[in-house]
Amino acid sequence: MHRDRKRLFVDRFKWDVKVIEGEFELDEFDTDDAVYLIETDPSGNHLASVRLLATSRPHLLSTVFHSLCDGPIPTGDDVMELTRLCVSPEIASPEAARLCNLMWVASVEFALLFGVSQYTGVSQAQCLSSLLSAGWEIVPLSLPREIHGQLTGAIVIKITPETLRRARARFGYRYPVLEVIPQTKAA
Amino acid sequence: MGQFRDVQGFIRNANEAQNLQELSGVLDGMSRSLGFRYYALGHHVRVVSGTLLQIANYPHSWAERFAERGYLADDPAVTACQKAIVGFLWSDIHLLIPLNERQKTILSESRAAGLGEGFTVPIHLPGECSGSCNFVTTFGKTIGASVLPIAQYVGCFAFEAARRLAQIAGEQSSNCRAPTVPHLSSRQLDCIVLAARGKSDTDAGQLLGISNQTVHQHIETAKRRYGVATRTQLIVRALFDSQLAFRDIIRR
Repeated sequence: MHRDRKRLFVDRFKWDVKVIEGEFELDEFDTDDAVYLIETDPSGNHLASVRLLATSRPHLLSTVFHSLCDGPIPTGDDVMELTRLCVSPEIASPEAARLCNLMWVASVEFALLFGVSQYTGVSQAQCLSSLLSAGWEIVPLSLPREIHGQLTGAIVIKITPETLRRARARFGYRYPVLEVIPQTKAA
Repeated sequence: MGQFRDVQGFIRNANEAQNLQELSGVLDGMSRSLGFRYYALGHHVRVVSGTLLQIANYPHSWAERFAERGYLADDPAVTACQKAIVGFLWSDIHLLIPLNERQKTILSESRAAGLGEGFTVPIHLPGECSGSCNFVTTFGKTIGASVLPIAQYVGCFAFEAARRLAQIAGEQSSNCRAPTVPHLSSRQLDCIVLAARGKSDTDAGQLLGISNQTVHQHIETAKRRYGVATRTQLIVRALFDSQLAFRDIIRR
């Protein structure tokens, strides 16, 4: 996952983020407290993932992107930050698009299972239309600003059972996609 | 911050609009408060059946001429949308596309009709025809750069609100709910994409490392799931449902 994240975010998107040992993208929020939704192939190789962070402790919007918000940032037990949505860069469309949609559906299922009513996040302006058309109820936290030449804005995605119904209908899923594996904490 | 509150208010009102007429009023008010006089929101391609999503408040004379002369297909802003993922100013269109004589005519006639600087927010949704939300000043009036990010957001939210209202109207008129999208496996999608690119079952099989019979089977199963008889119908339906995108098929 961290290897694919380096290839996608650093090599392709040219993000200015930390790289460990030249091949892993890993930041201060990749801790035991982070939740990862991961899709793998049958042999366990990473295909796609997304990272969910508790907003009761420091996260991207409260630190790195704090200046993106014009008002208070939603935080609390029912708010998580959704970041690092990553599809392995070797995978071509339409499989990449399918995996991306799968991650969205999984995120909504996770939210409903674990009592998350809102995801916060940072989105580039050109992604906004497709997020809206997927049926997400999106509320901007600020007007978009230019970051590294890209119009970027902080947003909130509100999650309700209706969100899941719309996402499943739009992406053609009839059954839950999420399988919960409790994390065994490393000593 | 006043402008952000205006946008929040606009999003709320747009989401609560019960019909396109209400949305038009909300969008008119918002575009004026940003310093524009006109707006035009819509899809770019006329579909054979069904309604073309279009709302605008252009001067009557210009709207009529535009429709009569079939300018939509050649509109420079519409053409430039194919090259843009975020909003652009009409005065920058020549940087995106070379303008032909007809397009230069459209631009000069629009100025004669009283339209000034425009800002076009392109909307590209996989599996749907492209659209845009345009904001236009009266002739002679310019627009400050600080307004453009706001217009970008307003355009996206307005388009989605219009899209939702058009969908509701469509569902009511056909008196049924939108059918759910049949599930297609990634292998079936691979086969459909290759068929849409004009590959034979044998060629597709070689590219995917499976036999031509297996390719045939995948496509037949997908056709059954959609309840359609031909590959053409299958490709069109899968595109319409965003199971695949035009980008998957057409490489430029």
